[in-house]
Amino acid sequence: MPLDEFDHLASFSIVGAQIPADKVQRFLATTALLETTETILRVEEPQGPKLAATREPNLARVNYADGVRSEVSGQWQRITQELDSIPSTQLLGRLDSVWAATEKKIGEEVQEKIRQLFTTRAHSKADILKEEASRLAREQGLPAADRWLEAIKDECRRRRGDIGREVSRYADRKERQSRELEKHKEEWVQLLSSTEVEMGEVARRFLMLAGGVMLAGLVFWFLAIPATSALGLSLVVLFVLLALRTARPLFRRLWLSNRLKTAAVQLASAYRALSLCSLDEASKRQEGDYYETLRDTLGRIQEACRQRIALIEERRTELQTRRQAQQETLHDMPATIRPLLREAALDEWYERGRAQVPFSTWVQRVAAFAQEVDWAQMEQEAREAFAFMHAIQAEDELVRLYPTPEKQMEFLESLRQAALGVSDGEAFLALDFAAMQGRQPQVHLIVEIDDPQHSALAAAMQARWAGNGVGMTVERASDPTAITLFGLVYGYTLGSQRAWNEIEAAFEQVKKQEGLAIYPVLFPENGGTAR
Amino acid sequence: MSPFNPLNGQAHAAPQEVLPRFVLPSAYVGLGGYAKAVFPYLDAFLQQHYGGERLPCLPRVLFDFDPAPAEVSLDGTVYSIESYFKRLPKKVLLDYYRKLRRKKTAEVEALRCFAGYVRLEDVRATDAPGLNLFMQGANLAWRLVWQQYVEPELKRVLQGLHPDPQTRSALERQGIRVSPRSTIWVIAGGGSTTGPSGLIPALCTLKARKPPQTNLFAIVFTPPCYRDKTTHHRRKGQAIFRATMEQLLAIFGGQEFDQPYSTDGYRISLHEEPFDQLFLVDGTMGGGLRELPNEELAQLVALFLSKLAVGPVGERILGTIMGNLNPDVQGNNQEEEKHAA
Repeated sequence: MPLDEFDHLASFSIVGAQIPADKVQRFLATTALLETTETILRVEEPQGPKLAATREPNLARVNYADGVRSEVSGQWQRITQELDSIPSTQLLGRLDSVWAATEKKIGEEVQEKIRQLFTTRAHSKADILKEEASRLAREQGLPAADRWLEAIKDECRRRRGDIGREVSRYADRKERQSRELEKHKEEWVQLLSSTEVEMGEVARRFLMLAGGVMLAGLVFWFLAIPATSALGLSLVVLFVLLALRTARPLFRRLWLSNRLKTAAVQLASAYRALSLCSLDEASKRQEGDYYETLRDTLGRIQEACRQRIALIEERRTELQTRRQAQQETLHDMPATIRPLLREAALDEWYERGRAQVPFSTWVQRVAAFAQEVDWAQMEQEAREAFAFMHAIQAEDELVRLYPTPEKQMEFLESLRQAALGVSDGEAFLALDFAAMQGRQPQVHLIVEIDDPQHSALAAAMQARWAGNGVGMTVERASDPTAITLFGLVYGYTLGSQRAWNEIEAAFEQVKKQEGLAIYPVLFPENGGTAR
Repeated sequence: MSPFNPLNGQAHAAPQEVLPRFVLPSAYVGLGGYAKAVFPYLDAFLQQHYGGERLPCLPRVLFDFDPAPAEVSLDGTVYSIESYFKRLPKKVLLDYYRKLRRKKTAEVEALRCFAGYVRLEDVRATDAPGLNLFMQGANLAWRLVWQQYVEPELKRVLQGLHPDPQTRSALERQGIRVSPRSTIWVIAGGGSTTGPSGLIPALCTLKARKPPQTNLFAIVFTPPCYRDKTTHHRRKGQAIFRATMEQLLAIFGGQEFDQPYSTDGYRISLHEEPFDQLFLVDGTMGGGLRELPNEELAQLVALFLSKLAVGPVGERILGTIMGNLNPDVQGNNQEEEKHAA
């Protein structure tokens, strides 16, 4: 077929105006995510509670202290009540055995239990503080939570110091009480030793006194000396005095009996005080360790908090970079597609989508620094919040950009000219109309617009362009965010391409040099197959 | 969003019905470097439209002797041709070329089946990537790799073109209406080597094997697109383009095409044109007032192809405009004759 007769050639063009919905959706979704990271990383002075004002996990410390203390105290109470029934000589031994029993109770095993109790309590308390820190992170940002944790750690350190000083005071007190106990013991021993009176000697003296009285009575009777005489009276007085002197140890014993009771009570009290002091000291020492454990645990929480801050800062930087890149490419479109994007529209769309963004849930997720953040899910939710972008009609935006019908048509005319050329027939191919020997290519314009039946722009374009030597079709767009014009030119000949002469000249020259070698496909010369 | 009347600022009287998504099954066959520029954008536009999904009824294959990859990054996503890029091996061509130069008769004799189809004395090849404007080298190279590398891929894309009922149902469940029509697009550069030398065999094979209700179009980038090439390259490219058109029209005029060569191939005798329309683009706008860089032109070609596949406008163009232009196009009226060796 001669080249000039071949006209199954076509060309096309595509121009249009489009809201860069996908780009804007991504950009606004990134903005929302960035806003979340900035919210959670904002720096505020923490407004959190003091350590003492935070909730306690339970009353284990009080209960335990009361339980152990009352048990120890009860043992001393019992022996104090039984003091009267205990022989004085056995009292010290009994007190020592009670002391040994209480010491055993507050010994290693019990102290280990106290230690475990305080460790558990420290961890429970740390959980409470972690919740509080998460709450602060949500409400005031992660840096505020970090600062608050630091303040709580300081408070723990101070409390630890205070307790250390209290423990040292306990040691002084214990030493003092120990000295007191020793003193009471010595007194007790002395008291006991002073009460050792020889009752036989008293009896022997009374017997001798009684013998003397009987002998003096016999002498008086024999000598008939009346008892009322001066001699008799003197003798009676003498015997009375001797009797008093002989009974003196008995009186002393009566007095010592009362003194022993008092000393026993004092001794038991000294034992009890020292025992309870030991218990209190052990408990206080463990309480100091509790603050140390709590501080260590808080340190780990703070470390997690700081890691989360670092992670979010990294994420923020990445989002800022991404957002910047997205912003810079918002207007990037294929060469013949005009972006429909007003500056104010971005703000409007962001506010519209922002209402759908689950900010509080996001902040909650990000602030919970013990849990991994599912960024992919957040990205997905962000994109869903701005999915409405794909439903915004290009026509609406075009009208907002070009408010008057004249301006709108002026813009659309520029699109049409880009699609079909100035002289209706040149798409993405330059034609030489003079080389067409009177034949004109067929030109068709297809306008793709959303809702063409109700579109005022579609009606205006049809009214202006239809029946003007160019076939025109208005078709419903697959994407409402775009108005697209397809230019189709067909029915021209190869020779009507601009610069075809150059092509022919080059062909002749190369063919002269290479002959058939220039053809990409050769057919057998005889028209049949070469067997 | 409420419909909006731009002229009076009021909402439209009639609410707009929801437009179901749509796909016009289309196979895309790319030949050479220009197609390599188009396809990543085509991937991007199609995947963006279908939410990242690659529909089976939009099969693609790209052939090139130059193994260089191609990709574009759009909105943070990289679109690459790697999954369907078929790197055609030059080694077999180079081996034959060396034998031809050494005149090793026994081995060269095996090439005699190509005589009449390839000017063996003009076969040239270099180790550099691509076919380097040596048309007989390209002519031989395509024939050497045809059965093993090219034909199976062409069959594959044609199989994917018409989705089976299960795939069709699955697409419809996703709200995607599948058009009963389909198209095949062959994209090639007209002034280099791989595109023109592969264009005619590819068109003939596709025309012969295409299913009914399928239109076959070719998009050829004409030599003016070679703006960044040397004068020699441009001149050679112009000659190659002209020679390609001549041979293409020879088939259009009744010439028969043996595929891939006679002794172990088959003859394609087309009683109609080997394509429905040949789209030529030179990357100018407004009658040459503006020249589009190749990258932008490739992007626009990809946009055009994607718009035709994803919206009703594709059916409109096929059914109304192209149908009127080519009323004889009624599907599978090709004739295929199998030749025994």
